[in-house]
Amino acid sequence: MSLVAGASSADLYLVLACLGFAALLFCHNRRAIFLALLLATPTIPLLKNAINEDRPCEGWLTCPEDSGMPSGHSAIAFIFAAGSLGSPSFWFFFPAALVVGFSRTYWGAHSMAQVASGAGLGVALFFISEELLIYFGAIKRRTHWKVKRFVKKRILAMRKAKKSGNVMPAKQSSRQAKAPVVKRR
Amino acid sequence: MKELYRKLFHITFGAVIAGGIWVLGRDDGLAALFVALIAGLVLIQWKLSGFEEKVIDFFLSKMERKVTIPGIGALMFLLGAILALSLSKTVGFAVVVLLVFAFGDGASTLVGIKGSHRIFYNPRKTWEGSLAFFFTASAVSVFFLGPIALLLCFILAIVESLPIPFDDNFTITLAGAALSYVL
Repeated sequence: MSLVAGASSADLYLVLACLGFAALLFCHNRRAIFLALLLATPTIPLLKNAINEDRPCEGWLTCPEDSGMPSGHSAIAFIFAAGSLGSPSFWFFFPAALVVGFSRTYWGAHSMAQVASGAGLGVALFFISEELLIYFGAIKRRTHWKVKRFVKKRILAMRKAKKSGNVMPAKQSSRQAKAPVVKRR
Repeated sequence: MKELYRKLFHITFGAVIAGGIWVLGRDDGLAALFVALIAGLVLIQWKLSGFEEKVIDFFLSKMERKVTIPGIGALMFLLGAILALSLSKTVGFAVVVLLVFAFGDGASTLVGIKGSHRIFYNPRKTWEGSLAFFFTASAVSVFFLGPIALLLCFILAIVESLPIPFDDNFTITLAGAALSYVL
């Protein structure tokens, strides 16, 4: 509890920096995440100045002086969560983003609405960056999710076949099975 | 037929969200949208991991376009609603922007796919679609804003027709929220 009470905004930035490092290591959408972070750097302070909504500042010893809407911490955390969507690392980044978001309301630095707004902005910034990169040809559009799942199933089936000793994939082995019948004739 | 179901769902979804925000207010509305965003992200992740559920699969097969992420259309709409509500000057204006977007975009797609007069700066869109956006959105929003709604819908119809690489959900809601400070 004392650790939580003594944590400052700088400590949370350290947590976010660690999350960012992990995201750049493990996420396949590194470029889009990086661009989203670059876009978020000027966007969040601009929006905070434009909307100019006070923070709740209840139970927070060193309440930041700037406006509260939208929450920058939750925006950045949700950029990582959106970036990891579709990969197993989502189950790490998504709970981490939730913890970051709810900790801001728990410490009184932001209201739930400000956290919600930050989360929405973060996810939106990620998808905008992804679209921008696709538009300028820096990355390719993702594979259709059904095709991706089909390919994944094929790869898993091939791995299973390799493990069990049958090296050829299912389709080729069925052709092989037909071949001996022709020979016998 | 798929596009008809899709746009009917789009209009209904938009009207329900706008009504919910009108009843709940700004803070509770944003909290509710946050919960929906969390649920949406988890559902998309489950779907991408191979999770199968009859009701969700039925909706996806009936309404989803050929997209790279399942349910991305609904997620984008949620994000647009969050942005409109958090960036607009008043809750009332955010509700109007959402209604304009839901009805206008739905009508523009349904009419636009039958249209033949291409817009010179964006060959993917037609004049018929943009006019449908303007008239439908004006008919809905004029009850809330009065004559100024015509100007709002005119600007948003132009924004909708621009060849911007981003999703309509972002461009229209962001433009609408920005106009709440000007109009």
